[in-house]
Amino acid sequence: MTDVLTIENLSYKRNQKLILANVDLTLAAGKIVGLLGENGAGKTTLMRLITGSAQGNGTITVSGTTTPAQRKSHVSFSEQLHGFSKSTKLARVVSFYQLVYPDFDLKRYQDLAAFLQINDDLKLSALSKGMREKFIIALTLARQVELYLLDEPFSGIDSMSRKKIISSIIQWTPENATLLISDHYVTEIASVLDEIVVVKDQTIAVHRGADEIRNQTGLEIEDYYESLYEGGVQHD
Amino acid sequence: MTSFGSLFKAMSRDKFRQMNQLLALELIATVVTLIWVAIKGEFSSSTLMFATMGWAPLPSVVGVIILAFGIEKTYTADSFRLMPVEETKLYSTNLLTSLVNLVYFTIIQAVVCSIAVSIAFFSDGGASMMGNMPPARAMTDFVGMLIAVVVLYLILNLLIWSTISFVHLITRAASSFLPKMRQQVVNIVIYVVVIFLTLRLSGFIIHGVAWVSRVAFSNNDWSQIWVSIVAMAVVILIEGAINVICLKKWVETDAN
Amino acid sequence: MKFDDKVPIYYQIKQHLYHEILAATLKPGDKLPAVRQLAVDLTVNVNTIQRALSEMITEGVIESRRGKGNFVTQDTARLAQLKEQLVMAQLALVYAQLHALNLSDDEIIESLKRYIEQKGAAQND
Repeated sequence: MTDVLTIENLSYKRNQKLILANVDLTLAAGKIVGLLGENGAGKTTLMRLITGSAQGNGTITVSGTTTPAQRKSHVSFSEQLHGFSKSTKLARVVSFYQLVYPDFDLKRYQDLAAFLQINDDLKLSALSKGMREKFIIALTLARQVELYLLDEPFSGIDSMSRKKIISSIIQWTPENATLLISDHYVTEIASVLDEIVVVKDQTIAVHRGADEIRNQTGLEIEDYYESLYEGGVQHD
Repeated sequence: MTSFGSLFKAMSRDKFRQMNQLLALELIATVVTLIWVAIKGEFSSSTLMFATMGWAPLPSVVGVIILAFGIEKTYTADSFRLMPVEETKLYSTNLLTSLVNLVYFTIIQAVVCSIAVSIAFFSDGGASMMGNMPPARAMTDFVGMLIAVVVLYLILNLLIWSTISFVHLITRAASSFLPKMRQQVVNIVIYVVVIFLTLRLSGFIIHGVAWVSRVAFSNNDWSQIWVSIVAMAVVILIEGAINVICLKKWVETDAN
Repeated sequence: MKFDDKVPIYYQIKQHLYHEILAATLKPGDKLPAVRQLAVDLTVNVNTIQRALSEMITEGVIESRRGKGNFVTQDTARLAQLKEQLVMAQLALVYAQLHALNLSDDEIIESLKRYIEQKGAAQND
């Protein structure tokens, strides 16, 4: 199996404050990986470093490419659409994506939009939090790339929307693509994850298979994750 | 990678819409003025000309400012920075689409103004204006100067935008480096430098305008305008190179 | 489907499919839903389904036909064996718990008989 993402010796400082240091991470193709960590631990920063929106020191390779401009062709990130004015209609955002990303698959988008019940005639300002997140997920997954990054897609969202989003992730993540999904509450997605990556103390503290954790520790993923903060469980 | 054509279209769309909205506002203002004049009973054949030409400058300035906002937003919003394109291409396409849309805006204005002027001219029988028509030899000079003025106008706008980006990107790059405390000090320094630059720039512009008018009236050697144009082009290129380096190395988008 | 997050998910998927097969929701020779469909139905990852299925293929409970999908085996002997295996596993749990209550083997058999009689009587009422 090939690797989709390789991060070597990555560190990131902002305003002379160290946010991430000595990050090494390799993700194989075809996995759904949970990115866990407390708020402010650097989960979003790690994703921004992968896309090239933030610039750190170290090597980041996505599908064999290293420059930010090339990496962007292989990564689809759930960006929050701040570049569009509130009065923009969803259909306009979709056609922007279609123009700008050669890998954007309109058919996939339409299937996702139908499944998530998205109405393209609405304006961005008319969307509820859940609907907006669904729209962002549909846009993100409609691109055909090797690596998907979903940044906290469930924060502040009702459970029905959450279920719909999880289903669409299972259904529409391409077979050989890897999806990294960040969340600070893992139970809701635990059954979907192949692996978990925990960001703690400015670096990657844990990277393990989910069933491996259940097998070896007999713990729920959530309990295992919490135990990391109590210093209880040692990892190897 | 996004093709140039798609990138151009994508980056032009919002700008085109904004220019059209601005033109619509200008049209409304002109119509309201005409109605107002008609109500007061002072309507004449030249009212249209004065109304259109009177309203034209303000939207032009507003248009340049709106486009400047759009240009800067591109550099800090993920929606644009995540597009799979090299920074140089992003930067130049951004400026180019702004310029093209400004030209579109200006052409529409120019057409409307010339129609208004022609109406005033012909309904007047052309009598009062005919006397002011320049002789044939001066006409060729006039065309040459017109070209120079148009180019000067374009390059001036590019210079304004590229300087705004320069300041914006430099401050942004610096603020990501420095600890929060020292950031303020540096910002002050940068603002002082910027104000100095702006003064120099406006001096440059005033100088240019002075040149144009002097040349226009004295029929002298106006080719020196081109010297100023080349100088401005050089400044634009240098600022552009620094801006692209900033984008590549330091300028991050706003976090979610 | 609800999972116990302490137990490996692929293991729980296997148990789930075993029950479907023995309860005859899935009959011998029936085609299983596509892997991705199973994943969506059970809200789990495609790889986890894949792992559960490949273990079941190795066990001979399901058969993979290239390009056609996965089918429940028609080998009734194998299915009988599976049933025996699951019954034994359930009994092992009960046995261990009753043993922990200091019941002897005979007492366990007696209590089980009593339980079934009572249960049968209750159902006949």
